[in-house]
Formats: sequence, C-alpha cells, structure tokens
Amino acid sequence: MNDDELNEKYKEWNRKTKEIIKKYPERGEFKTTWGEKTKRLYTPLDVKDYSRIGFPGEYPFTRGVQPTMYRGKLWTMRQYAGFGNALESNKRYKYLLEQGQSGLSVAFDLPTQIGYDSDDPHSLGEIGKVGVAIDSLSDMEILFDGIPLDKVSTSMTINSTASILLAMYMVVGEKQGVSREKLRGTIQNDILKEYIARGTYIYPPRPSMRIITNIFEFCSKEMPLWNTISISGYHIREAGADAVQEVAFTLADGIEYVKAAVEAGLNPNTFGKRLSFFFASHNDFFEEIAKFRAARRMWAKIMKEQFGVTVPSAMRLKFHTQTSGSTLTAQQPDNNITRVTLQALAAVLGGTQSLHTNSRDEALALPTEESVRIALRTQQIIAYESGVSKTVDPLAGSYYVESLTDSIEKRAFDYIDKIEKMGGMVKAIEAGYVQQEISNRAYDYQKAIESKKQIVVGVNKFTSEEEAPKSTLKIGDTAEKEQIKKLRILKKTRDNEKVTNALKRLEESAKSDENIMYPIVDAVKVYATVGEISNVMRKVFGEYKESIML
Amino acid sequence: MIKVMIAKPGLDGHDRGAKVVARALRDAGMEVIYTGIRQTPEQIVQSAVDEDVDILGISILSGAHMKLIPRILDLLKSKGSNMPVFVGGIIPKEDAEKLKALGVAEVYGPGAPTSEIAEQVKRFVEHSST
Amino acid sequence: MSNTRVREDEILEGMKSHDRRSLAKMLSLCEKAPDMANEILDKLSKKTSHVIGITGSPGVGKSTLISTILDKMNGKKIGIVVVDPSSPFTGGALLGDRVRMQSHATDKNFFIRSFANKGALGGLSPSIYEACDAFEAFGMDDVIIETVGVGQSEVDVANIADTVVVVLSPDNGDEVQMLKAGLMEIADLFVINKSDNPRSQILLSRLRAVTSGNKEVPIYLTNAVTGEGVERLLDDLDDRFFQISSNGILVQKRKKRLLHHAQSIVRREIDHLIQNLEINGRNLKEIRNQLIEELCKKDDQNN
Ligand SMILES: Nc1nc2c(ncn2[C@@H]2O[C@H](COP(=O)(O)OP(=O)(O)OP(=O)(O)O)[C@@H](O)[C@H]2O)c(=O)[nH]1
Ligand SMILES: [Mg+2]
Repeated sequence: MNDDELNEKYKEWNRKTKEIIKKYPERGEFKTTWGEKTKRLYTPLDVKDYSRIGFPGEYPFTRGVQPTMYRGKLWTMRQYAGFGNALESNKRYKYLLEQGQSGLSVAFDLPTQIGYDSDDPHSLGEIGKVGVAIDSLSDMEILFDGIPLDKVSTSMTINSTASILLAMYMVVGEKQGVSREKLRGTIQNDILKEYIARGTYIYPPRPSMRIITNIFEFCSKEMPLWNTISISGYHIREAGADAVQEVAFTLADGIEYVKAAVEAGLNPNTFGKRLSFFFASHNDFFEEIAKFRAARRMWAKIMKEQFGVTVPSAMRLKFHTQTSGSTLTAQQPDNNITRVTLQALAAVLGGTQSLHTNSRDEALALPTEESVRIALRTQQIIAYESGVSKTVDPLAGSYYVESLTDSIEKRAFDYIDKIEKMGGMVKAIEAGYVQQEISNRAYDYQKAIESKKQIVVGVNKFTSEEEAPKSTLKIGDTAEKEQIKKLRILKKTRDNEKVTNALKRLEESAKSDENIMYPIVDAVKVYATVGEISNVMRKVFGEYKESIML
Repeated sequence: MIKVMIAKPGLDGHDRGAKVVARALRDAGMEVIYTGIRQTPEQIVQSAVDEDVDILGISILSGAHMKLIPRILDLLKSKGSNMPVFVGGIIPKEDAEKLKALGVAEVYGPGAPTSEIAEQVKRFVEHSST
Repeated sequence: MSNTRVREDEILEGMKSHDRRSLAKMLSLCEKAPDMANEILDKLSKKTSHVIGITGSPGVGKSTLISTILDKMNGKKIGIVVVDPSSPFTGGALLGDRVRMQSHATDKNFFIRSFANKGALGGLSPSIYEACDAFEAFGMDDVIIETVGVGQSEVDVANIADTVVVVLSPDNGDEVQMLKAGLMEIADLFVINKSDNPRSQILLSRLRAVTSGNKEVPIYLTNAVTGEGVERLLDDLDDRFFQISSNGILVQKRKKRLLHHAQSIVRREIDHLIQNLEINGRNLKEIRNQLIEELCKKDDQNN
C-alpha cells in the first residue's frame, strides 16, 4: 500500500468511526501531558522517514547508544540508601564493596551542599540528615578510610560545593598514594538546574559557571578519568515540568556547559565523552519512552551540528534514570509499587544505562528495608522475567511511539531555540523564564487534579478510609552535637596561620581569572572547612537570591 | 483583603508545593508574600510581624518540622502575635496532632486541594479577627 | 467603635515609644483606614527623613540594589516600602520584592514593608503618603520606596520622594527608549546596574549622549549582586540630602508632597462618593452590570 492509498483508507476508516462515535461517544478528550491532542489512531503516515530513526549504536542514536544494548549488558541497578556521619557511611561502603559492588554513591547533607559548616546557625536540624556531613578534609579521610580509591569509582551528588569536595577526594587519594590521574568517578556539578529546580545554589549563575569551567579544565589536565558533570533533568521534572520541558531545559543546560568548556579551550570531541545525563521516569508510559529516545537523538544532533563533533562516542547521550518521587502517593502506599514498575519499565524500554527505583513509602518517610528490597526486585523482574531485554529498542516502529518521539523533539527544539534567542540558559534563568514555564505547568497540573481531569488513584478517585501509617523519620540530635564538637576541636588544633594564608590566596584567585581549583586544593590540604572556603567565595562573588515566579 | 505569608524554613529547595499554594491563594484574591527558601524561624517570624499579615503558612519537607515549627510558634508568641498558622508538607499523623495541640490551625499533606486550603484560610482569618 | 479607639491609642503610644509592632499596625491602618491613620499621624512629631524613590523597568535590579544598600549601612535607621502590582481581575497580588531583602529581615534598624498597588496608576500604592509619614513619625533616617516596576510610566514617585533614583540595566534593550516615557524628567540620578555585563559601557555612553545638555544628572555604575559601586552612590545620596536641605530645594519638594498628599485624600473621598452613589435607588455596580448584560445580549443577537 502506498501512502496515497493508505491515506484514502485512513480517511474512510475515520468516517465510519465517526458514525459509530455518534452512537457510542468516547470517554472524553485525550491529550499528552504537554497538552497536544492525542490522535485516535496512529498509522505509517505518522512515521515517514526511517533514516531519522537509524540503528542502535549509530548516529543519531534514537535506538540506543550501543549496538547490543541489554543483550550485551543489563543496565546498572543503582540504589542508594543509608546516611549518617562519616564513620557510619564508611562502614556501609566497606560492606557494599565486600558484597561485590564496585561503585560508591555518596549523598551529602544539605549544609555541606550549600557551603555551611555544621556549627553555622543555618545548619540547625539539618546535619547528617539527607546525607553525610563533611566539614573538612578530616571528615573525608574518615569517610574513605581503608577504601582503595584506585579500585573504586565514586559518584558524588554535589553541586555548588563540588569544587571543594572534589579537591578533598583528590587529597585523600594522594594521601593513600593514589595519584590524581588514576581516580575515577563523577560529580553532579550541574549548577544550572539548582537555580531552576533543586535549590542548593550559593553564588549567582555567572561565577558559578566560572567555577564549573575551572573544574572542567582542572580535570582535563589533572584527573582525566573523572566525569565532571551529570546534567540533570530529574529535579526539573519533579518541580513540575512536563516531558518536553524536561528534555528541553536539560539539553539547554547541556549546551551551556559545552559552550563554557569550548570557551575554556577544551575539545568537544573528548570532553563530550565525559558528559552524562540524569532523567526522571514518570507515569505516562509511551510519552516517557519517547522522551528518552528523543533526548538521545537531539543531543547527537546538537553535538554534531552545533559543536562540530566528529567522534560518534562524543555525541552519545548516556543517562541514569530514577523513577518519579512526586508521583508516589501517601494514600494507599502499596499502589506505588505498580507506579514504580511502570516507570521503571518505561526507562528500560527507553534505553537507560542505569536505574534507581523508588520505594513505595517514600511519600511518607524514609523507606524501610523491605520497601527498598521490593524496589530492587522490581528492576530484577523487569530484567530477568519480562523479556523486554531480549531485543534492542523493541518499541521502535510503533507508529505512536515514533510520532511522540518526533513531537517531543520538535517542541523541545522550539524551547531550545527560544532560550538561545534570549542569550542562552544563564540569561533565561536570570530572567526567570524557565522557572515561570515550570511553575505554570505545575499549577496547571494541580488544577487538573483538583478538577479531576487528571485522575490519581487513591487520591481523587477510588479512595478508601485508612489509617495513615507511622513515620520512621527521626532526627539524630546526638550525631549533630558530635559533628559540631569535632569541628570545634579541629578549628583549635589545626595550623590556623596556614588556613588564613590559604584563604587569602583563594580570595585573590577568585578575584582574578585564574583557575580557582588550585588554591581550593591548597586550602583543603591545611584543613580549611567547606564553610570557610565557601564564605571567601561568597564575599567575592555575592550570593544568588531567587526570582520568585509563581 | 487577606494578606498571607507563605514561608519555607529549613535548607531543602523543594518549593513546588509552597509555590502552588502561594499562587492559588493569590488567584483567590489574597495578597501573598512568599519568603523564598532557606528561611530561619527568626526571619520568618519577624517578617510576618512586620508585614502584619493575617495568617502565616509554613511549608516544610525536610523532616525538621518538629524542631522548626514549635520554634516559630514560640517566637510568634514572644512577639505578642496571635496570628493563625497553617502547615503544609510531609508530616506524619502523630506529629500533626502534636502541632495542632501547640496551636497550628491545620496541617495539609501533599495533594491537599488548593481550593480547600484557600477556603479554610479565609475562615481561619475570620475567626481570628473576631 | 470604642474598641478601635483603644487600639488607636495603643498605636499612638507605641509609635511614640518606637515600638516595632505598633509601626506594623500603623502601616496596616494606613492601608485599611487612611483617615484614621492621618488622625494619629497628626498627633505625632515627624523626623524629616531622606525619602529616596527607586524606579526603573522590571528586573533591572531595584530590589537587589536596595538589599545591597542595606548591607552597607551601619547604624542608620531605614524604612523600606516595596510596591507590587495587584491583579486587576482578582485583586490578589504576589508581593515579591521582599524576598531579595530577606537577609535583613531580622535587622533592628531596618523595617521592610510590602504594599500592593491596588490598581493605582503611577507605580505606587494609594496609601503611600500615609506610609511614608508613618516611617517619618517613627524616626527613620531614610525611607526608601521601590515602585511597582511593571514598565508603565511610574512617575508618581517624584511627587513623594526627595531624591529619585532611576535604575537602568544593559539587559533591557530599549532602556533609552524608556527614558522618553517621562523617567528622564524625574531622575535626580541614574544608576546603571549590572555593571558586570560588558554592555553596560555602551549604555553608559548612550545615556550620556541623551542626558547631555539637560540638567547635570550624575550617573553611577553598580553591580548590585557584589556591591561594586554602591558605596559611592550612598556617599553621594547623603551629600545630596545635605545640599537640598540647605539650598531650599527640600522645602519645595515637601510642599509638593503635601499638595499631592492632599490630592490623594480628595481623590479617595471622591472615589468613595462614586462607589456609594445611587441613581434611581441603584448603585453604580448594579448599573454597570446591567449595562454589560445588555451589551452582551446585543452581541448574541448580532451573531
Ligand atoms: N548580573 C547581575 N544581575 C543582577 C544585578 N542586580 C540584579 N541582578 C539580577 O537581576 C534580576 C532581577 O533583580 P531584582 O532586584 O528583582 O529586580 P527588580 O528591578 O527589583 O525587579 P522587579 O521588582 O520585578 O521590577 C535578579 O535575577 C537579580 O539577581 C547585577 O548587578 N548584576
Ligand atoms: Mg523588585
């Protein structure tokens, strides 16, 4: 059947169907989460050109970044859990390593992430809460004590203080006798999404971009195996963005970073290989699959066409996925297992490189061990029982999925063009444009739930009377006091003259345009604290104050 | 005209809920001050008193609510204010009961309808001004 | 009625003893019952504060600049009034300037207060005169007023401020265009903010070209985020206040302010009368609604 014949048949079918609908109306209007009309039926007419889709492992990578995908190696099932102080975390890492895990994942508490020492008034009630508290090199030495840093790869969720924590990691390595060029791991280091969605910024965007560029440069010279950034859409999505916005804003962030790297003299053909991404997986099954495929294709095009990259491996968008915390409900928490399953399946069908599945009770409190296990088992069932990993990109060629992929790509590129016209992502953030777009979508979504246009099972339909389960959230006051005491002792016993001098050097460096990483390393070595180093930079760079966009 | 402050104590940046509520209250015809994230109890209370708002809403997701909210209530009292206070966030039931016993007007969990919040806010303000 | 008398007396006494909470209540009274507010204010002695108006297009950095000004003050007592727009549809408002100054919320010397403009044109709140008087009665050294910043011609600030600071930024392409909308005439000094943006130099030379020939209006380059250039601005603001206090300009300005304050009271009275006006037993709102209904009907028939 050629296209014309098909078109005729399709029209004919539509005519007949409309007659039927007169008698038996449909349930309502159907739309994508970004508000585009969903057609009743998709046909080959919606998938015109196979060259847009291509082959896995080849440009434009719609079908995956490797030729064999999960036939070769399953995605990495990366669950992170367990916080506390440096000593407890160290024990846990050693246990995980004994169990055969080769990668460590470090979460820091909020004061560490925002550059406050544990004795700062801002830190009240937050010390050691969502991760480990690091005040100085001394804590970092405890955290990695007895862990051979040449054997492990370490992923650190750290952004505005990434430069300091990276410097500490490097110094701990050197004290172990491991030279910097052998260290492997990742820092999140994605500051732009902090302004947009996650909130752990310190300085205004421009100096923050300068610090990031300094890190890129430093690592390319000193730590070539280190992944210097993980560009994250997850938090953007969780703040209320739709699938198109998630892709658009994440890739626009990516463009800004690559631009900065190129300006610093790095070659995108090598730098491109060091980039990785992090996305959310939400409820709308096909949209999410299409989103991952579209993102991959778009990034390949951006790297090739905008940055002139010629090495294919520097065009590949590799990504980690986490299921969406914001879709989990406090009501009827076991339903969340099903939500997580669908979201995880979408991530796998979208070709993720690694996956974190959320636990059913996360909307209530810190997850129990049993819930964490179920979450992991969910991934294992998908991997070993569902059969979806037997072939590469099984949904390619689905008229609907390909059409959604095209649509997301087109709309996301429209956003990216608009941001480029505004002068890039930093400008768009300063103007509050991105925040406003997300806030609008979040508000629309809330309204849709309240008007029951959007059904959430157990929340606005199919509700049942139930006793809310008890929380397991507890704040450890003793850990807080101990950490503060330790810090006070450190400040008395270290060589404070050296600290003062190192901080003075750092201040001069911050004011000039030299690479700030070197004086940070020096300051860290003499046990200057995260708070002290951040305060020097606060003084020079100023602090970011958010634009309130409702 | 109701004047309301939405405040966010603690260090976490999850302000989606706070913003949605602030916007809904504005659209319900109220004058809304949103403090932004990372506010200390002292900042929140002094601002609320200086602005002479009719009611204070606190959004908190970091889990430090049992530390921060009682402190806010104490500070309000010490400044001679009896403005009503409501709370939104992930608050376990037993904690919500405790907070209400301390004088919090209402505790809203995630997904509480904003239209309902707006209605109740109006009622809390009416009650407190009589 | 007797109840409110008590409260008024309390506020009056509180204002006299510099009680912060009374100032907060006083300012609410300015908004909700300006007549009563004026009555109390009449009974209080007032300091002649330096009233500084800060105006300029949306997002040029007015609020950030004020926050940085506060960073650099030591010992001075300052009242800050920030005005944001009310929605013409719901009457609701997001008062968003304060968030940039939150680091000063607990400072004893500063008092920040947000107002909605309640639909008033000109960039200010209808109760701005009363609010300004209240701050002076409280004994503030300076009163800083930030206008709405929606980009319409916000020239009313010249009626109340002793010194008008017009803030510009190189981010806005049409800044010099803006000046034609009346801002040129009211500027006592210009601030080009966001000096970290290289285009600020271009804006500076363009502004010089536009202002040359007119009265001598000084221009300052600032970076409100880091505070660069702000100290010089502050020194000159103080100098200027000293100057206008001694050369008679301040007296003129104050006369003008009084006149406009009186006008605003008269306007309020007239508005009140109109609101309560009845024609054939029906008030204005009913008449308006009926008119709209009939117009809509006609429209329906035409379609
Ligand atoms: N780079 C840079 N950004 C600045 C500077 N001053 C302010 N900003 C940024 O400009 C944006 C707007 O600042 P505001 O202080 O809110 O501007 P505003 O004039 O008060 O805005 P409205 O009240 O909405 O009219 C914010 O993102 C500030 O961080 C500056 O000197 N340099
Ligand atoms: Mg402002």
